[in-house]
Amino acid sequence: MRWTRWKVVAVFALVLVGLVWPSLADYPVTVTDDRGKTITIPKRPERIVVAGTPLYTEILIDLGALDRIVGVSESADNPKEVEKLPKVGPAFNPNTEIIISLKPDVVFGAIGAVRETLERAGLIVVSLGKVGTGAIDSVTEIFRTIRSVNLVIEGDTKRADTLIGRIAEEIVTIEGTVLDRFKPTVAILYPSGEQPPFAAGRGTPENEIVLRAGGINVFPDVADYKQVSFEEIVKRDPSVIFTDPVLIPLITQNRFLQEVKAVREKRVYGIKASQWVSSRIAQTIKTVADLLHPNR
Amino acid sequence: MIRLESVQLGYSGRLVLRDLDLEIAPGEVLGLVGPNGSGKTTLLRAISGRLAPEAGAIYLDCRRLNELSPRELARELAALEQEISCSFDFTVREIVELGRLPHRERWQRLSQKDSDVITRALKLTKTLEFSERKIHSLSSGERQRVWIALALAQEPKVLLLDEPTAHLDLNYQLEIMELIRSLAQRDLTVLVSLHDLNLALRYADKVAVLHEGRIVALGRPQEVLTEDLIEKVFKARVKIFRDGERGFYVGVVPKPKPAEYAAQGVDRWS
Amino acid sequence: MHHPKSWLGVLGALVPIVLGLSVMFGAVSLSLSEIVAVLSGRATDQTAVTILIQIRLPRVLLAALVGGALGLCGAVMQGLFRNPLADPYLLGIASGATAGAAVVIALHLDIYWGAVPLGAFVGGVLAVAIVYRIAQTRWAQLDNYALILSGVALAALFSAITSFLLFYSGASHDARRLIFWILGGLGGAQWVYVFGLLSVLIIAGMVLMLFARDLNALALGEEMAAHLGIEPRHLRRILLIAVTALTAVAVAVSGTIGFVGLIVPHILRLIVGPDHRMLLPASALGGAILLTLCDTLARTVLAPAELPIGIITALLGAPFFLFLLRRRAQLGALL
Repeated sequence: MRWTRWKVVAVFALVLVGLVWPSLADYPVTVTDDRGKTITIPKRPERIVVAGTPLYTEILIDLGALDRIVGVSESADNPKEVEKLPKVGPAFNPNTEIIISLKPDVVFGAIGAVRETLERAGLIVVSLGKVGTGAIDSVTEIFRTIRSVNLVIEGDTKRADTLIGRIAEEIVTIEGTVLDRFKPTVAILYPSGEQPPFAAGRGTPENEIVLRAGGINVFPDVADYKQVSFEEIVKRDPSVIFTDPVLIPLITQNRFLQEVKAVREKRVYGIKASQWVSSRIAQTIKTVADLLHPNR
Repeated sequence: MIRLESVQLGYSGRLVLRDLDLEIAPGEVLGLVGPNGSGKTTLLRAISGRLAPEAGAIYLDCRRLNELSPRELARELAALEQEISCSFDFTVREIVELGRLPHRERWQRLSQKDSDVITRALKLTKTLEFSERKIHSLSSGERQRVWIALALAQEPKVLLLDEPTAHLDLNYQLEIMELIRSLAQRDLTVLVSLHDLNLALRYADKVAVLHEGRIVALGRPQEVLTEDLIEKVFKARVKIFRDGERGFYVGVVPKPKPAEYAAQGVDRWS
Repeated sequence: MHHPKSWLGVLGALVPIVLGLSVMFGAVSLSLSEIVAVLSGRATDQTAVTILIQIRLPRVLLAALVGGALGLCGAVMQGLFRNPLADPYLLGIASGATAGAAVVIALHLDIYWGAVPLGAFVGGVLAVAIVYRIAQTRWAQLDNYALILSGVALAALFSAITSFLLFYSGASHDARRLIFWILGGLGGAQWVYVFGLLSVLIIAGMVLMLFARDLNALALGEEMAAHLGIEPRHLRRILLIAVTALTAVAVAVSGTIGFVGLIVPHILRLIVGPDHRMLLPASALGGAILLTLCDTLARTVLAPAELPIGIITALLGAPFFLFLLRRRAQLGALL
């Protein structure tokens, strides 16, 4: 019980800190991007393009900015609402010409050479995530991203704070339901054909969600994503395995993994990458919790 | 024209030839003979400047060879390797043009003089008629003439040839040697290594015989190439036939058997 | 191929035509009048100006320059090594440049905009320098075989370094950036690259042209070339320095684009003949035309997505080699 209370306090403290922040700022506003660089947004953007991960699209919709989106990257994980919008190319390599032709006031998500080209053309590009790697790999990062996006598109973080508060509350509730329950052993694996699969270890969103949903990662000694041998997987014998939905057969039919408890008891479940990192993160945690503790 | 004084030649410490003292006069054809591995190519390499002597000095026209830059040397001396292959399908003229390289700066174009020299070289070697054909489409005899035209385009005073008749048919062999002889008559000094002793006998003014790392004989071929020498150097018993007006030829003929073998009725080379 | 000089003229005229046509194509369709308006400075639509001047024009020009550089270097390498499979990447420059880019990307050294191309350039030059040094000290003769074999060994080493760095980057942004770099492409084209490559191309091009006749003589073998007054070692050193510098810059700005340096000299040799005084400029022009066309295809065929340009050059390369093989069988000629 004490632990739950501490958790609640911690999450709300995070929200409070955000509120104390000058949340009622006026334009121009500044945000720090994933290069550690300060980006200045001079006025409220009316035309927004998402040129990277659909996470931004989700967040924009949740913050009520759907009507201002004029273009999105092509992705199978795009929310239904943006189906009819112009596409600027695949998320990993968007087309600079199309982005420019849409005359955006701000572009979310572009990185690398594409970002450099767009900035040279005078566009404002905002890409968030951990400074250096650009990774959005934890609930905290997701919250930070939501707040930064809100800052960019409204000049303040009011809506973001509300949204974050709601999500945090949902997360805490779910965590409460699994608190005293037995924690099943879990592995999050991404197979690649005949090669040993990648396991998600500490520092990954998968790891955090599994922990919050009341599970134990059998690979806590792995940093980020690393290939692990089939033998290790068999040795650590997870009772539940999560992977990408299309890759499930690669686990269940893998001849090296037939002895693993999760495969024997048919507890190999699919969760898409876009679910592990999403503004609907609370929903994901609930899904995972339901799968880990079916008798709740 | 060419002089070697106490020259020693070798590769990475291993001596191949020693005590080389040689003089070739202008307009002379010197035939270099000896069994395979006797150092004919090594000697030619040294005189063409590609192999520095371990000891001694080589002089070209009274200047030491190592004092000449490669380009200066190439203007006076032309050398043809034993096996020449052309990686690209150039035309005959394009190849002979290369002979003018030592005479032109990199940025200079072909002058009228250059074209004249090239044409003359083609004429002398009777290759003018197919000067626009590709080199790979020629017969081996025609190709050999092209290489000689290339050498002539350098306007050399000295010509070094390493077994130019090696893989040629008989008619081509004679053709090339006749050409060489006629070039020598125009004051070209020629040093040619030969496999075929008959050609040496017929076309060389002097021969140098290489054996066991030394020049064991040097002089007019008719005087120097005796049956005894040939047996000693080439380990073959031969009979030399004299052909009246024209010259000599060497026939490899089984010599009469020594008496004891004849007595046993055994037919055998000794 | 009777009048190689007139072919040079044809190629020279084709280059601006191909450039002009390529500028008209892209993910965003711009009409001819819009393009003319932008180029003459009378445009009203700022977007069109940005697209054309910031993105398309530098990209098309860079494609031509990279293609020209690769074609030219390929011809020189084939002449220098007298090997039909020689290309600009023969001595490990590709794997060296890739390793250099990998180091910068994976270790987060890209503190400023030009770090990755610089890393690639340094890696490429370093690879060739090491190969040259190894060939010099470990082998009695610094000859072509020594260089090629050392190049093979070192390429393997650099590939291992790159693979390790790829593994080290895991599944992050970095790994994806690195993979894209390896695939190669002209998407990151900017005016700085254009002017940089142009300057190096001009200088290296002039040096290489100066030694075109020497390359001809080299066809007869190093010994015969030496008899003609050339010093093969010096020649090889100068040619390799020029080729390495030019190729390293090209790879730094566009990644390792394969096949162009290999195919273009063969094609042009069929057209203008083996004389390097014609072949070198022809290969440069031919390479420029080919790569510009390939790049235009790459960015229009699947728009808005872009096909990696290496795929297109490879698709052209495979059937070409079959054709070359057939021809060899018919003519019996090596090159």
